[in-house]
Amino acid sequence: MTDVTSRLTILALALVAAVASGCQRSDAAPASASAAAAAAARRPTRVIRIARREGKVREYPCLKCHDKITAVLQRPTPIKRHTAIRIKHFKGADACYVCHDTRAMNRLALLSGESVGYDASYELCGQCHGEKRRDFAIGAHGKLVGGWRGTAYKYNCVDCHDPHHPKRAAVNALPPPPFPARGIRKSRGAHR
Amino acid sequence: MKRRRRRRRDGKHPLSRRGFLRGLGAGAATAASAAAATVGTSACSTDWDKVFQKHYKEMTAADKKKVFARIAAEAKQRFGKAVTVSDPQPLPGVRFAFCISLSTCNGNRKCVHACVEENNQGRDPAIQYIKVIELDRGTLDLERGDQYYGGEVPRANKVYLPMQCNQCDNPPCVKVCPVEATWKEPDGIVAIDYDWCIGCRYCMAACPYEARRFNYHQPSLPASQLNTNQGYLSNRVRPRGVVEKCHFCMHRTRRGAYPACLEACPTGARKFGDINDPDSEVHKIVKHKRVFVLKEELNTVPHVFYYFD
Repeated sequence: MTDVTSRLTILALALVAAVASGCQRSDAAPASASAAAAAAARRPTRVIRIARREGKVREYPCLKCHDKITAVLQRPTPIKRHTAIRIKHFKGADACYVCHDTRAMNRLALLSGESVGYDASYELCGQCHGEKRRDFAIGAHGKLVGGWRGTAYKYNCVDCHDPHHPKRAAVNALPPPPFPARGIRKSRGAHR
Repeated sequence: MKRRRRRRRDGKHPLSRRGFLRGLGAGAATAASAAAATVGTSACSTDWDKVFQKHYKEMTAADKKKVFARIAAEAKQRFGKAVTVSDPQPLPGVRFAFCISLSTCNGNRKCVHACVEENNQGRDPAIQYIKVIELDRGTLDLERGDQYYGGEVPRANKVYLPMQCNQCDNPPCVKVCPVEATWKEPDGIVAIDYDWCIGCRYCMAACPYEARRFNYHQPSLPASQLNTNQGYLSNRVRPRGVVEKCHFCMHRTRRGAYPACLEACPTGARKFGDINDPDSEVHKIVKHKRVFVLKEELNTVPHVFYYFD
């Protein structure tokens, strides 16, 4: 009842306001334009940085060997030293230099030939996984740490997915809640 | 001791149960609605104070300090540990919301157990705020879901849906509480006053999301696992016979931190933030992704959004 009356009041007030401001309608447009400009100029309340990746490659610091060893442009690339790497990605990824840059071994090469660092490896992944790249950009995909306000850090793709074997392995679930003492288990026939 | 609930202040419910009782207290049952409408007038408030004495009034800063000291002393006596109790206030203009990606969640239940550790829930019988429901892929029929699954996850052709308090904008649990021990805070969190709750469990019956839990026993909690950073309306140790539920980790989130379940999630399926802030990830997800809420038809206006990415 009160909801209805308050809505009616709001409607009536809006009507009165609309009639009163009818002659000033022309002023409204510049005011909203300046508001839009102010909104564009305002500082973002939320800054999301992508967690750094460069300098974290400990197992195989690339340039320790690859300043002397040159690229083997052979398909599939024979892997002699990188024995821990198992490749289970898309079918075309059988050669290291599909993604790694032959000119600078501690960098990655986009399909366009542009060289990017490990920090921007999401650009490389995003070439094929465009949908995920979009979700990553708006914050719908990828873990964020730090807090919901101010500056936060977003994990890069390879922080969670092994780039050579991107499908995440199955894990053991933590224990379920205790089943109620007098509960009745769902049987296959009854609820399925 | 109690917080005065906020509903009466905005005048949406001129004749509430408590307002009616207050009218009785003033000795004028026939003028009950009039008395309730004139909250705080001099004649009424003196009678009000006489009848209810110190039992129902808004807590001042000094009152709170005293109560926090009492809670800390009780915890010291029971657990032998010093705890800090605080009551962070809602941040102006903020409305909290959760977004959960169902294609990323793999049902590992890390969130459930992180929540238990953060919020001092009873361990035996176990009280857990989050239920992770295993559903067949292609259906979202919660009745056919299984929350007691175990072993290796994710299983083939299954989707995992974590369910917790939805912090509704139109909360049925708040409407049914006969003593108004639960109310909606300005930042959207539905809070419970554990000292004011009488344990009638109406709210548990009213909640369509099975979000509320009841302490049938004194919560058993090893002293070594006690979280000493406690909030008055959130994770302080509950007494026996009261209802509790997820409160979006009020003691953390009102200070800018993420909730414990989100921090524990190894997959990054959980997104949390201020939905009023256009730069926040939850705002962008609700704006750009196809999101859904549970039991939308009940018009509870939940603020936990699910999406597939």
